[in-house]
Amino acid sequence: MPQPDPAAAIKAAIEQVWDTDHAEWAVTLHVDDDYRPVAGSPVLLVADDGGTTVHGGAWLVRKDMLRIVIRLTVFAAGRSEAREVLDAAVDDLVANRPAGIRIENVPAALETRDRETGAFLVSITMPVIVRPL
Amino acid sequence: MAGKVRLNKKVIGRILKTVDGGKRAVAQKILANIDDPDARIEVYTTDREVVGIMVPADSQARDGVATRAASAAGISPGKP
Repeated sequence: MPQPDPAAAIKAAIEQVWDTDHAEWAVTLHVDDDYRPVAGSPVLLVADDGGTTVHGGAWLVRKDMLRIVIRLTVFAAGRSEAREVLDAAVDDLVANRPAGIRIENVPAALETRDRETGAFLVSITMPVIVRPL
Repeated sequence: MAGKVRLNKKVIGRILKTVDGGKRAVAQKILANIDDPDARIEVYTTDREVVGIMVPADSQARDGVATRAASAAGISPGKP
């Protein structure tokens, strides 16, 4: 039985929509160290920041629900571009939600600039509940 | 029928502002998981006392420094 990989499931769900709607936008699970922002080609990072189990116990091995934090961070060359991509990502994720993943909240975005690459970053940390399938 | 219950909001407010309730200990635990010299604990008061963990915004956005540290300490951020 495979381990649940909610970040990959969320990436696939967003990618499915963007493949047709926004072909120039990329979704990834890790951003390379030598990444440089390019105007018109924003990158969405989907990361699993971990969490706790909701119900645990030996009788639920590999079946217990997880309450984890999924971090969506957009790397872009401009602020409005970054915000636009994040809004689209959340909308497309909610509309095309993968099975077994419940989004608990979509908090306000954190906006900043990367000291190393100069990219504009817009980030949210969504609490989600994952039910192993 | 039970009588009316009236909350003493003044006292509840005072409790929220003065009682620690383990906040500082948990914040220390989370801070211990952060490998960043700029990370620090900040105590401030809104309608209650808050013990916040401050990290540079781009470290959080890029690497999830604060959320990962909280998860490692068994706290699920975003929702209590």
